[in-house]
Formats: sequence, structure tokens, C-alpha cells
Amino acid sequence: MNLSAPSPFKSVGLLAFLATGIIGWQLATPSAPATEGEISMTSVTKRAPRPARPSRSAAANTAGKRMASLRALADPEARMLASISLAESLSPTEFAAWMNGGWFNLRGGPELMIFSKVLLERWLREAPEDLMAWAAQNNSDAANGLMDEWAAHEPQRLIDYFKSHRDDRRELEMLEKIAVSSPALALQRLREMADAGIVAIMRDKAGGMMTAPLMKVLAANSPAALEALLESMPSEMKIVAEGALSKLRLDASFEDEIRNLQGRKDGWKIFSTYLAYAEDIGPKLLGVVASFSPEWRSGLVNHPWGTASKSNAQQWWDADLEGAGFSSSQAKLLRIQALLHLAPTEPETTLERMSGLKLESHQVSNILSTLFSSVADPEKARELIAGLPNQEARDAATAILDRRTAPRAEGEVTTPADLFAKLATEKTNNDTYFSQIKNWPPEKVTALSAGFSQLPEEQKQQLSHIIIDTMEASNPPANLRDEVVRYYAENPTPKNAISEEPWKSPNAAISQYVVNLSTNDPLAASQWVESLPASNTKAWAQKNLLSNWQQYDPKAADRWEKSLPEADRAALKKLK
Amino acid sequence: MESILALDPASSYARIARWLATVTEQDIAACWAGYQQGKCPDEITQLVFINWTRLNPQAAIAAVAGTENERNAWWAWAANDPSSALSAAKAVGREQVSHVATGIGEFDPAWLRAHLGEIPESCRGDAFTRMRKWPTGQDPQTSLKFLKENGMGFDDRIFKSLVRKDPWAAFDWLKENPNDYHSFDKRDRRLDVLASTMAQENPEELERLAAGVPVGAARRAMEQALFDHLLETDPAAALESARAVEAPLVAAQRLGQIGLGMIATDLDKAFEIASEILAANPGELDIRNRIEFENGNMWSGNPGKASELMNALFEKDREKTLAVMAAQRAGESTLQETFSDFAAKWAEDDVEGFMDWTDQQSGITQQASAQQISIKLARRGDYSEAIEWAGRGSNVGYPLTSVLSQWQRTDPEAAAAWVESYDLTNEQKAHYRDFLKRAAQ
Repeated sequence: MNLSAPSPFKSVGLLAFLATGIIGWQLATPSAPATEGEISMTSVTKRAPRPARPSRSAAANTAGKRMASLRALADPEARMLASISLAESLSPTEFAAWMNGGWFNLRGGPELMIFSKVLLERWLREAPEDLMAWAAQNNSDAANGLMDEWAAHEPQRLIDYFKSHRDDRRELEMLEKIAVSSPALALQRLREMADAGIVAIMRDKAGGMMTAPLMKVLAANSPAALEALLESMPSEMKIVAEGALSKLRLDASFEDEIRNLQGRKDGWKIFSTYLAYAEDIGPKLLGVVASFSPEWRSGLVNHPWGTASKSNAQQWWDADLEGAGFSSSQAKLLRIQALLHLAPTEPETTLERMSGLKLESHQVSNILSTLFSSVADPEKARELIAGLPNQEARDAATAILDRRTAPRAEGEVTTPADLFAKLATEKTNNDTYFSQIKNWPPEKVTALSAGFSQLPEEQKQQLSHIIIDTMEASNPPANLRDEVVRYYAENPTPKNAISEEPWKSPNAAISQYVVNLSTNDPLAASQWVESLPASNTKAWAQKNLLSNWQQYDPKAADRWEKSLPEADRAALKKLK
Repeated sequence: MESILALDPASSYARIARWLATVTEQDIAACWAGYQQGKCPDEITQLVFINWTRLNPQAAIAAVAGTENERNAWWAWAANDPSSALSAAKAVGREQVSHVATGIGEFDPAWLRAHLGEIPESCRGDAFTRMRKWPTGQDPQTSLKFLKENGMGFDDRIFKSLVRKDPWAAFDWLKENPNDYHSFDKRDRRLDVLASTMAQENPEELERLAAGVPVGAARRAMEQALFDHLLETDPAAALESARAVEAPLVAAQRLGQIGLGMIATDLDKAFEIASEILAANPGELDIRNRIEFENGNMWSGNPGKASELMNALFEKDREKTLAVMAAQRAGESTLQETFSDFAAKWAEDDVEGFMDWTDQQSGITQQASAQQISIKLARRGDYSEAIEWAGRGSNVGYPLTSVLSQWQRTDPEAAAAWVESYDLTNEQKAHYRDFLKRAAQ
């Protein structure tokens, strides 16, 4: 944070707030607020005396003595044998303490590796469940092989382990392996898990249902048993299971299964689970769309990823979609999907067809973006742009092409001046350069904020737009981020409309900065926002700070609001 | 030797290691030749070369020169004598230097730090990567600093060993090395590592540490880890502690966490907890970063435990879940957003079943449910029925025109025919005619 910024402590109201705030936040002194991304911890060292380091446990002391005698051995062969003997002498109840405590601390040779491997070998043999639990807690792959082995040969034992060491995600992964050889057991356990918690609705990082891979294996290995249990499954899980079973039938006879699904109330929902992962089924779909009900037509238009693809886009373009029952607006959306796939290989044809579709601007932009990201020859791209029907389209296409052909990040940035020059000329690659800064010495990083503030006004304006525009993704260092956002907030100009997207407007960008800061340290955020000159931007930032702070600490947030100067509170009230 | 070769190498590491540590170079060479007759696991190959290069590195390398095992010989030599191994490798080629660098990183981080300049830049990454392999056996603070200075970022396993050795020093390290914010939700995962490790192994010390930390992300991570630990060790105390949290949304997440654990054992109690959460949080269940601005708003963040609990209960018993949600605002003119979200979910899953349930409801519960049914029916193209349901809603105007507008886009003639044939006043007919006309433009 720029401490030379206008002080927030000039405000009597804020002083009153701080007086009460200190009680509310215990040791939260405002003397050195953290910048965004830092941990505000001044009080820990200043106010809270550290307890004396706890004395080492008796076990740690014994371990230390054993290591001292081992380290004293001069002969490498003797050290190696002593390391093996040590690992062989420990009780399984001591394994975790030795591994976690790092008690075997002899380095500069292979002893730690050998000691650890002997220990793990014994752990696997003598206390495998403990090893699995330790591995899970320490993000180690030491028990992966054993889990796979049990999944194949002792599945009940593995299930029993998970019953006493709950880890739903990992257990689902292992059930997928168990299901290959013991589908009935896997299915039974899945039901138990569904009864006991949230496994039926758990999603993976990509948003897919966590149970989907397991259902696929169950459907392939034991379809009858899976089908028999459908009615007793929770609804979300049932749809996933139905999807897995339906996929088998679709693969066997697409038309028959489509007919079957269309006769069911939940047919589209089941089919959409297939559609999400199916590859190149466009031609098959074209063969059956004429039989689709309005719900299915609408579903297909809303999720068109199964329709046109690179290999069949022309067929979808040519199809009589209206004749198949689609409304003209639905048909248009499906044809756009076809054009998106035609654009990379047939740019001229695509542009020609676009003009006949009465497209909205975002649709034009979407197709142009695909098209001009694919045309390899920039000269040809310029020719195509010249042929576009209006200036708006030509500008949009030029911007896409410019972004694509912008110079790649090259070379290292070694000084603040270097960095500012690169950002200003390239306008892209911010993240590449900011990631280099992570390796700069701290004093050079600190110099960035001063470097920015000393730039000529015009350059500051340009850079603030460039940095803020990509700030969320490019991770500039905290002190530079602070300086740039402050400059941006204090120097509103018409150019501050960074982009037409409302979430990148100055008010949104500054509020976002303040809210991110408050998540980490609300007091620092309140000080930062208070130090801004009065403006609409400041009022929005205060409003957003208040509502976000209230989530974590409503009383402190309300006290802060009450402590604000009358004018600030009035501005805030207007926005509520 | 025959008895050693006869062992299953996959489960005899200790015995083979002990034998290899005591035999001559010739025995090792013969043993290696013996292992060439069958499959030798990597771990045993590594043991062979650790010991062979300890006795005669040149002979070990010569024995496997040009084969895929040459890398093991160079790597193993670095375990015994990094300096000689590096000099010799430099005289041979880049590939050999790379193998030695991996060995140096794995076996001797201190030597690596002291002699980094001697390793060609192109091979340093090999050493940095491998020095993370045995995090507990090194000086974690120095290793973290070294990795950071060399652009290798953060290693949470090394950090965890620092937390175990000296949590206060670990916390100091976090303060001095601010987060780079590379996770999408901007949470500092390092704090979670610190807090969860301390909560498991030294909760009293974590409490002391948390007490001195100002309100903010660090304190929250610590409090959450302490709560997780309490829930594991004393669920009754955890419930009391969750109820004592002043911020309703934070309390909701804690209670949600408790409720989720009760689904298997005491479903009624889980529903009671859900009611408690909903009563205190009528509008929103999740803590998120929410930004409002002149012409819109945005938010980021994941659903929390309170939402997870509602979803899990909905899967168990959707009627009861919606009844619990509806009961929170009985007698009021609007239902909370949470009710609408789950009503929409039910309508999406099984609109006919939801219609039956809705028919049995009254007042605002029925009206809010009817609105979700109308939306679902319109989406599947049943426009006239959708309009019927929209008419049962509390705020008829918007839902009705919304359906009509969708109908108009799909089948304008049918939409117009509905206006003419339906039992509407002349004024209403005129209004909807005009609406359709404007929507068509």
C-alpha cells in the first residue's frame, strides 16, 4: 500500500470507528495495513508474545540421539547399514512420527532414501491401513499401488478401510476400479454412500458428476444389476446411471434408443448426459431430429454441442431444419453452430452465408473471432476484412487479428522501466512478464510502485488501463496493483471506460480490488477506500466493501459504516 | 548371491539393500548381471548403482554405457560424490550432467545450494524438481527460500515440514512471501496447509496463533481448521461453537458442515439444522465476493457447506426440504430465493411430480412454485399450459408475458390465436396483441 497516500486518519468519524474497532478486532492495529495478497500480521509480532517453543517430545529426543550416533559414523557403508537397521527397529506406531517429524535428517547421501523405502516396505506389510491414512493426509502416492491391488483382489478390505477413513472422492475413484471385477460390491457400496451423504450430487472440477465414470464401468460390466437398482437411487444419481445405460443402447441402435427416450418424461435429461460427451454424432442426430418433440428441439438448440462438427458442418447447414419442426430462430442458432465449424476451413463461404442470417452483434463477433483466429495468412485475413459489409464488423475483425498477431513475449524484464516499456508496447503478455517478477529481489519489486508513480502522466494513464484490464488474470505484484488502482481511481478520465464490458468499468474494477483486499484484511481495505477522494467510484467501492464485509463480520462492518463521515454515508445511502 | 537373486525384488528391498551394502564390487557386478535375466524393478536398480558407484563409479558407468540404465549410474554417483560426478559428467555431455543434477537435487540439497553455479543453467531445473522428493529431510526454510529465489515457486510438502518443525516460523514465512494469487478464487492455499496441519498435530498452539491474528483470511483459515478438528473430536461442542458464531453466513457454513455429517445417522436432526440455517439466512446461503455496479453485478466463489446440506437433503426428501424452506417465510408476501432455486430444480427434474405437490400447497408457496412450473413448461414448448401455470403465480404480469414472448418466437400464429381465444377482457386482449406486435419487431 502506498503509505504516502492521503491519510484516512484526518477523519474524526473514522478515528471514532477505529477506537471501537480495535475492541471488535482484538489486535487489529491499523498501523501497517497489508496490501492485497499479503497477510496482515503486524500484531502477531508486536502485540502477541510468542509462546516459548514447545519442548521436543521424548520420542523426538530419542530420535535425535539415534540420529546423532548414526551421523557420527564415518564410513558410508556403516551409515547405510545403520540406516537400514534403524528403519527395521522401529515399531509401526512410530512410522508416522518419523516421517512427519523429519527425524531422519541425514542428507548428503542416499541414506534418507534407503531409510524411507525400508520403512514404507514395512508399513505396507505391517500396517497397510495406517499407511493409506498417512498417505491421504500427506498427499503422498505411497499407498496408490496397494489401493489398486486391493481394489482388484481384496475389494471388501478396501471398502472397509474407507468406512473408517471417509474420503468420498477417493473412494469413488477406487470403486471405479473395484467395479471392473466386483460390480455388485461396488454398486452396493455406492448406494450406501449415497444414503449417507452427498456423493450422489458431488461434482468434479469440470462440473461433471463425480459418479459418472463409475456408472460407466458399472453399465459396461453389470448393466442388469445397475438397472435393477435405478428406482432406489437418488434422482441425480439415477439420471447419471440412466445416462450410462442409455449410452450402451445408443451405441447399439441410435434410432431405437432415441425413440425410447422420447417416450420418457426424463428422456431429454438422460440424453443430454450423453450429448455432453458424445463425439461426432451430428449425422446420426440429423437422421432423427424430425421426430423430436418441442422440448427436445429446444434442448438441442440450447445445448448445440452435439450438432454440427468439423466433419459434418455442411450437412447441418444444408439440412431442412424448419421442415424438421425447428422455428426460424432455432434453425438460425443451429446454422450459426454450423458456420462456427465451417469458418476455419471455408472463410469466404462463411462470410457470404453470415450476411443472409440477420445476426446479432455478439453472434457476428463470435463467428468472426473463430474465423480470424484460424486464417493462417495475415495478408489473406486483411483481404477478407476489407470485404466485410460494414465498419463495425471490419473493426471487430481487425481487433481479433491484431490480438492474434501481437508480438509474443520475448526476453526478460529486469527492471521496472523494462517492464513498463514492454507492457506499453505489447499491450498483451502481461502475465508472462508479471510471472518473471516473482523471481525479482524484494527491493526491486518494491521499486515498481515508485517507478509507476514517476512516469509521465500520459504513460501512467495508458499503463493503468492496460494493467487493470487484465489484472484478475495476470497477477501484478501487490504494491504495483495498489498504486495503479489508486491512480486509476483518483484520475477519472473519459478514457477510463476500459472496455465496453460493464464488469470492467472503473467502478467495477475498483470495487473488485477493494473487495479482494477486504477478503484478506477488511481493515486495510477500509483504510484504502477511505483515502480515495470523494467520487461515485468511492461510494460504489464503500458499498461493495460493506456488503462483503458483512458476510464475515456484520457487526464490525456496521460499526465501520456508522463511523464514516456524513457525506460518505449519504453517498452510500443513495446507492442502497 | 543366489539367495538374493531368488528373492522377489518387489517385496525384499530391505534384505537386498543390506546385502548390497556389504558385498564387493565384483559381487555387485555379478548380481547386476543376474538381474538382467529378468525384470528388475527401478528401486532395486537404483540400489545396485548406489552401491556400485560408491565402490567404483567408473566401472558402474562403463557397465551400462549407452543403455537406458546409464542415467541410474550417473544419478547414483551424485548420491555418493556430487563434486566428482558433476566434473566427470561435464566432460561427457549434457545428458549425463542432467542425470547428475537430478541426483544432486535428490540427495544433497545443501550441496546444490552451495554449488548451484557449477551446474549448467539448462540442467538446474532437473535438480530443483528432484529436491522436492524428500521434503522432510531438509532444512525447509532454506529450501523454500532457495526454490523461490530460483523461480521454482512454492512447495507445499516442504512448507508442511516447516509447519511441523516450527509453525511460527512457517507463519513468518507466509508474511514475508505474499501470495501470488494464482488460484482462481484467490484463496491462499498455503494458509490452509498451515492451519490444517497445526489443527491436527498441535491445536492448542494454533489457537494461540489465531488469537493474535487480525480478522481476515488468515484468521478465518485458522478458525475453520480448529472447527474441523473440534467437529472430529467433539461434535457436541462443535455444534455449540457453530451456533455461537456471530456472522450468520459463517455460522451457516459451520452448521451445514455438521448437518452433512448427520444425514446418515439422524436425518431429522439434519433437517432441524437446515431450518436453523434458513431462519438466519433468508436471502443467501453462500459467502461470495459480490460486486455491484451501476449497470450490473458479478460474483465469484463456490457454494459452501450450507448449500451442500440443502442439496443433500433435497436428494433425500424433496418434499420435506421445500416444506422446510417454505415454512421460513410463512405468511409473508415473497419466499426466499433459496426456495425458488430448489423449486426450479424439482420442476426441472420432474415437473409432473412437482405439479402434484404444488396443487397441495396454498398461498405464496403455491404461487412461487407455479412460477417455476410455468418456466419449465415454456422451456419444453408446452406454452398454453405454461401460461395457465403462470396465471397461478403471485406476480402474473411478467411470467405471463415471458411465456408469451417465447411462444411468439417459436410459433407466432399459435401465440396470437391464444390471445384471441382465451377468456380475457377486451382490455387484456388489446394489451397482449400490442405486446406480441412489439415483440415481433
